[in-house]
Amino acid sequence: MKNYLVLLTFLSLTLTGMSCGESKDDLTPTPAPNLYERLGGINAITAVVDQFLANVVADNAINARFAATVADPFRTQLLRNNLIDQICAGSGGPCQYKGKTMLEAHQGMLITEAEFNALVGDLVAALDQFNVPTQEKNDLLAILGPMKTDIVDQ
Amino acid sequence: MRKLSFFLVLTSLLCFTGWLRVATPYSPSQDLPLISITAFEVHAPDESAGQALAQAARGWQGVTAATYNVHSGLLVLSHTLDQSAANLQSRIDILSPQPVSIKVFPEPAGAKCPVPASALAVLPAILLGGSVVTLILAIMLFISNEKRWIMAPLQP
Repeated sequence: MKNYLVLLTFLSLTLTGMSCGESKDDLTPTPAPNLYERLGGINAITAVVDQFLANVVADNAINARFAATVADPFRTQLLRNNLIDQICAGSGGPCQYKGKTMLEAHQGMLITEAEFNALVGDLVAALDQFNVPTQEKNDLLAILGPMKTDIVDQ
Repeated sequence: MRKLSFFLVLTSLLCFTGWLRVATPYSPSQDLPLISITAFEVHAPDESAGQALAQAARGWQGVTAATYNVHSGLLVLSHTLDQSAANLQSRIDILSPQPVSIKVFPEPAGAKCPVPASALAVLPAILLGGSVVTLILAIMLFISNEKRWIMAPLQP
């Protein structure tokens, strides 16, 4: 009987402690969602990247640059995964970009500013296709924008 | 025998380190289904007809993205590998007033990577498999050696 009382006391104390913990947590302000969460996570980023790649391949201004990639499903996959990882990591998601640096990847390609702008246009069109809000669109472009110097005229 | 065991363990460790290097850190993109991108030359009478084709294709199973570019006249589909380009072409043909062809992009000039991308794609599996197989061989060799050593004094 004594043992039961001790057990009951222990359980009630534990439960009280747990409920106190919960109320304490409730008072803590929840952190604002990062860009990755606001974009909709990995599935939303994947959908945008697939649409972006389709836009690029349909775009006569730049699709010749991607001819070899499109011809090989494994290269397509590599490019797709790198793009997803780059956007995911850049927006604060749980990914790590494992590809080359932008400078290494575009060295010797002599990409013009017009080609870069066409690519950005295709990305914006993909974001618009999924009605990504202006704030999130601008935040994402602000992350990718500084890469321009490593891509154009290299 | 000892040299062979040592060599096998070393190979196993090297393969495992190589696998660790290419397979980690984990990224959720690794779990995504593989896709292929196919461009179709559609001769849509106007932009709205081309956009309607793209809109219809977006609803098909296995199609992850679709777009129609009025300037190039290309309908581009991003699709999972279980959907073949020929199958998609036949579906577009049904909806399109004119026959559709698959766009073949010209082979780009310049140096190419001598290692096929398909070989690079299976590299993590080869490394992990190699690590496991060589480790098993090393353990088997070690056990057989130990057995011989224990049994030797018991031999008549």
